[in-house]
Amino acid sequence: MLTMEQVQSAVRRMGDLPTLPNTLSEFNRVASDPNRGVHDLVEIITRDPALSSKVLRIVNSAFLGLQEPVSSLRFALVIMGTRHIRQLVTGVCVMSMFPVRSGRPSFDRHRFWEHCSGTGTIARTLAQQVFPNRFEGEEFTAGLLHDVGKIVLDQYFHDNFAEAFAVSREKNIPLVEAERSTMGVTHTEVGRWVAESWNLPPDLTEAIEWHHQPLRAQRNPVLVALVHVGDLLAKAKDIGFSGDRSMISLTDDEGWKILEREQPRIGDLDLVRMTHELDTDIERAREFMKLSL
Amino acid sequence: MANNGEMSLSSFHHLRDFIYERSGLFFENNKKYLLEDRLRGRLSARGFGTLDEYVFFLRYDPAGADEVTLLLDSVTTGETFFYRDPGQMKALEGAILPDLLNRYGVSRGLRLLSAGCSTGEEPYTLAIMLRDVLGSAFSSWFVRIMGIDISRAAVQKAQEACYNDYAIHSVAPGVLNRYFPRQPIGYVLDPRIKSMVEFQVCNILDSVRMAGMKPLQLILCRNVLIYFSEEARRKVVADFYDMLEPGGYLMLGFSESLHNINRLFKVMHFPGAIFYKKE
Repeated sequence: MLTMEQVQSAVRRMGDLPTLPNTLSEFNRVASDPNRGVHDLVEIITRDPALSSKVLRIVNSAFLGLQEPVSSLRFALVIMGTRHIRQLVTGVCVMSMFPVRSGRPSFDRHRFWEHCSGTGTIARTLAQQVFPNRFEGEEFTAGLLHDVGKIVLDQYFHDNFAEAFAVSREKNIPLVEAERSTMGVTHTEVGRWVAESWNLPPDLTEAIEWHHQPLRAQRNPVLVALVHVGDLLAKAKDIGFSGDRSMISLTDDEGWKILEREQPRIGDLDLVRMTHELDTDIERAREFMKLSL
Repeated sequence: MANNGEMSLSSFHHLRDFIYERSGLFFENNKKYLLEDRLRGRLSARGFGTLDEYVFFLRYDPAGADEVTLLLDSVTTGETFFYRDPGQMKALEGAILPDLLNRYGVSRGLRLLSAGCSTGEEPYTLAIMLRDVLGSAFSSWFVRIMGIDISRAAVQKAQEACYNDYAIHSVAPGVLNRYFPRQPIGYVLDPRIKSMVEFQVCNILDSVRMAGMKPLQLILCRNVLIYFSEEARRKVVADFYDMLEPGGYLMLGFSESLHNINRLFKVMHFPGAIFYKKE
């Protein structure tokens, strides 16, 4: 059985967590500085040619579905805004830190990122439909990174995590429960620690920690609820992980209820039609993945 | 429609919305190709040159009502067969039936209805599933499966329970070997399965006869309601709600929605399928 302290010291012994690329930390620093502008941000991203070409390709892809092609990063920043681009850059950076290596039977990273991209795009669609103009990409990044704890556990505690994963499938219990009983720590706790180590924004950290229990969120419950529901729907659409196969009722779900309290008109949504329309999101998610990994 | 047979996204959306309004059948964007394909056939059958003419005919011409039926016929994958729609089959085997078997484990009785059973593939599929899931416990359960259809000819064929290659093409080899011995006339369904299903010629609009089938724990009515008017659909679904016990399930066609018809049923999600539950 592990404790968080043990997890942290073990990770340090193994060479520590991969650090976020300097580009991202610089970008975040400059983006929050009122005295710096678009020109400075463009300069930072272009220092990393791989990153800047990925970002531009994503901006121009079906993922965002912009009407006109965007030819330069500067233009992308102006059109989409700093907040939005920051979210994209964060997502792309984190994904590139954990290279895909399929073949390890218990945890297929390709399918993992597929599920995460799916969660992010669905959260984004929901946000656009239900809370227009309220979010600027945080819901996508939160969705994309909500399970980052799993990939860290897979990287540093592969056998323990594989065991928890197997138990969860055999007994058909939630992964968090299986993690508690076999390992002691959960991917949500590990995820929170990772997010804090990387100085990710607190709202994002909260979504990573509480995406299974959105009622526990205090800073931004709506964001956490969007990720929670995005995760549920991604599983219902079978994007990526097969996850647990049980039936769910959205209207009974605590995350859905948070969204409904915030926006009562959600009760009018045609759930069946909405679920079918998510097919477009699946395609977008795959597009994002192709361009980012 | 352009000469290459493609329609614009906005034309597709107009037509899609019209069909949804009329039948509850929803086509997402990635099914545009399917609609285009079938439309070509309908346009040519009716002698229309453009999509606009066809849609005008559909919407406003008195003869358009018949055409809607024919269009729906052509977009819903034709005939019935065993284990049709893998997503729904997995939901039945993986979630719905286990839940029912669990809840009724004491009384050990289940009543299921296949509404619009055609030549029997659907109710017989349920029968096989139940038999397999229950295994040796089967003999201590009382399972009654009813299949109803408005077509006498279809019901007769269902009672014969003899099928061709197409009907069994989705059946797993193990199941096929166990329950469908091959004979010169075709695949003849095992009598133990055949005896689990009772067929009747019946119109689902006949509320009185439908009420006689109460109580039920599961109703399957796939790609049938789409042919009904909104009013008729409301009536039938209200009857379904009434016929089901609390906790009972209703499953429609994969792309069918009850949204504009009935808000009492709870929408349930399962990977690859959506269905309804009575609270």
